[in-house]
Amino acid sequence: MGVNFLGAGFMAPGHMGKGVDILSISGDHDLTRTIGDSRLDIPESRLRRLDFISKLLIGATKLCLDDADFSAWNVDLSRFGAVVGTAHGSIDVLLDFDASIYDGNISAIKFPNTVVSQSTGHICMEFGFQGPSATFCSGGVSGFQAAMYAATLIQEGHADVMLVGGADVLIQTVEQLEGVIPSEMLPLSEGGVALILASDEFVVENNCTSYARLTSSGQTFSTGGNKESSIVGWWDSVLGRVGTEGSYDYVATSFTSRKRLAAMLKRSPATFHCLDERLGNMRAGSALLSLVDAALSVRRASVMGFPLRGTSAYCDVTGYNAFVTFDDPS
Amino acid sequence: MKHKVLVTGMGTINSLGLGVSEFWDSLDKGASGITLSSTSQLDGYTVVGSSAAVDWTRIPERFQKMDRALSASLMAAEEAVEDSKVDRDSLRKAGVVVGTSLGPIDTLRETHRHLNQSQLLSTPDVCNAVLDNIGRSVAQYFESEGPNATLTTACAASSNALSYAHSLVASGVCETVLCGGVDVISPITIAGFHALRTLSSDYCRPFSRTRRGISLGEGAAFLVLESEESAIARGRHHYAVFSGYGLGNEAYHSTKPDPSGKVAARVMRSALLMAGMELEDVKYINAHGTGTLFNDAMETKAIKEVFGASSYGISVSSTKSMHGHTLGAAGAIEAVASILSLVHQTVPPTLGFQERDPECDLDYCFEGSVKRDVPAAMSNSFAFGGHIVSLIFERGVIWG
Repeated sequence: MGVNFLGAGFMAPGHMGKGVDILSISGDHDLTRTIGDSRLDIPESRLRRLDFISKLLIGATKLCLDDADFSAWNVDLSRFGAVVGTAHGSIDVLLDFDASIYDGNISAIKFPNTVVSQSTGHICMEFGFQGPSATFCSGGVSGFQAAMYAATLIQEGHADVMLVGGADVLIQTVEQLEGVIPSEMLPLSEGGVALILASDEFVVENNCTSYARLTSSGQTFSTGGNKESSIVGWWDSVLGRVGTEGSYDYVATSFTSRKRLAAMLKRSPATFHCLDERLGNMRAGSALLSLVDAALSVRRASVMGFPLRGTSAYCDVTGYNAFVTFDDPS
Repeated sequence: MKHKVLVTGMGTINSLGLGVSEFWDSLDKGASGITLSSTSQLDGYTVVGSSAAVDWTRIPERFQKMDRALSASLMAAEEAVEDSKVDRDSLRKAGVVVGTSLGPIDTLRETHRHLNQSQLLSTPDVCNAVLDNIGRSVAQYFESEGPNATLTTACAASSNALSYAHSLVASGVCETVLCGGVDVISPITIAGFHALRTLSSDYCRPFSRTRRGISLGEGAAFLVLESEESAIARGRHHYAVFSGYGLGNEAYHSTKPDPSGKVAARVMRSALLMAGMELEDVKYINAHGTGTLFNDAMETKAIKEVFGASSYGISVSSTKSMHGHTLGAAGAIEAVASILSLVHQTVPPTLGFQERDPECDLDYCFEGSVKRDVPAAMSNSFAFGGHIVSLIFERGVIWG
C-alpha cells in the first residue's frame, strides 16, 4: 500500500507557514517564546492547560490540515491517528514540577504535562483523532521515526491518515550545553512541524493532491556514536539503498554540526539543502522539517514540470541514522 | 512479506522479584510486592500511600552504581538475551526499542540540580539525563546497531514499544528486536499522582467496590522478538506468538478515561482482527486494572462490549494488585505476565478484593490463581493523553 504526503505546517516563535511556502521562510528565530495564542483559536479554558510544545504542535497541525484541505475530506476520525517525535518533549515542565515539590506548591494541572506524550494527546483531543497514537523520544531522529512509524501504520492497515508531528523547545539544560559545545555547531532554536500521510485509497476517495509518495526508508544506530568517518559510511549505505548515485537529485538534511554537513556535501553530487542554517536546529522539529523539505521539493519540481527524487537524511553525534525518500506521485 | 513474530526470550525485575522465575512464583502464589507507607517524605512534602518497590539491595554489584532505571533495564534485557540464546551476530543487527515514561529520572534530577548550582554540564552529562539514554545504553551494552527507538506514551509506553518492535520484525526490517520498558518510583510521580488524588492510601484493590486508586510500582521487563524464520533457522523454541495489537486514542481527556469505553473496545477488536482470532480463543485478559474508580469500570464495560456473553467465561486479572502500577514499564511487565500464563496454563489472581462492584461483574480471579486452558491472552494498556494499546499473544512451543 502506497503512502502519500498531503500537506505540511510549521510554527515557531516569529515564523509560521504551510505547504511549499515553508521552504522560503528565512530569518533569525525570535526567542521571545511567544507565538500569539490567538492564532491557535482555542478557548482560554483549554489553552491554559497546554504547555508550549503542545501549542507549537497544535499551531503547526492547524496549518497542515489547512494546507491539505482537510475540511473537504470525508474522513473517519477513528482511522486518523497521530504520531509525534520530540528529542526532549516537555522536559521544562517536568523540571518545573520537580522544583515545585520543594516548595509544596504542586499543581494537578501541571503534572499531566510532565508526560512527554501529552502533546500527542492534546493534538488528538483538539482535532478528534481517534486512530493510533504514539510519541517517540529518541533524540533528534524522533521526527523521522514518527514519520516512518506513521507510514507503517498506514501500510499495515491500522489507519488511513496519520498526522506526524515533530517539535522541540529550548530548555535550560540544552541551552547550557551550547556554552560547552564547539562553536562549529549550528545554533539551537525551537519550533513545531506537522505533516500528513495518507494511503493511496484515501487519496483517491477524497480526490486529494499528493505532493509526493514515500518510497523507501531506513534507520540504524552507531553504538560508538557518529564520527565523521561513520557518517560518510552511513551516507554511502543510504546511496546504496535508495539507488545508485545520480538516481536521486535532492537531499534535505538536519545537522547540529557544520563539519558533519560538510563531510556529506563532499560525498554527494546532489543538491543539498539544510533549513537549519536559516532556522536554527530544532532537534526533532528540524529532522521532520528536512523530511518536509524533501517532499515539498518533489512537489515544487513536479509543478515546474520535471520529476525529482527527494531524500531526507539524518545522522547525529549520539549515533542515530535515518533516511526517507520521496518520489513524484505522477 | 509479513513475518510471524515470536517471543523467544524474556527478562524482568520488579517488586515481585529479580528474574522471570521469581516473578512467576510470586504471581502464581498471589504474593504482593506492595507495602503500605504511612508517610513518604518527599523533600518536605508528605504523602500517605502504598508502593511496590524493587529490592535494590539485591542488584548485582556491577549494576549498582548506575542510574536505577538503567540498571533495571540492563538486568532485564540481559536476562531476556540469555534466555533467548540469540547469537552475537544476530544481536549486532538487532533493533532496540524501549518504552518509558520518565527514563533515567534520577540522573535528570541530579543534572538539573547541578545546573541550578551553576555547574557547567558536559555533553555526556546531558546525554545521560535524557529519556533515550536507556535505549542507547542497552544498544551499546549489546552492541546492537539496528533501529533504536524510545517511545514515551505514558502508561502505555512499553505496550507501544512492543507494537513498534512487532512492526519492525513483521515487515522484515529486523530479524530480532530487543524491546521492553522501564520506570522507577520517583518523587515526581508520587507527588503528581497524589495531586491528582489517584494514589491509594490503602492497598490497590482493582475491580473491588472499595478501590481508591493506584499503588505505584517500579521495574523493567524486556522481550526478545524474533521472526519465525530466524527462530526456526537456529532451532530455538518460543514462549508465544505475538499475533496482534490494536492502537487508538480516546481524544477525550488528559487524564480521565472515556467512561463509554468505546475506543478501548475498538482497539481490542482491532487487535483480535490483526491476530485473526475468534472471541472464544482469548481465555485470559491481563487488564490495565489500575484500581481507580474510572478505569476499572470503563475497562469492564469495554471488555463486555467486545466479548459479549463470552466475557463471563474469560479470566480477567490485574497483576498491578501485586507489582503495583509501573507506569511506562507496565505494558512490558504485564506482557511477560500474560505470556507466562500461556506457558503455565495458569491465570494469576487479582489481590485486594473486598466488595463486589455491580459495574465490575466479570471473573477477576479474586480467590487465587486459576489453572485453565489458555490458548491466547490479551494485555491492555491505557494512558494519560487517551492512548490505548491492546496486545495479543498465543501459546508458543517450548521444548524440554
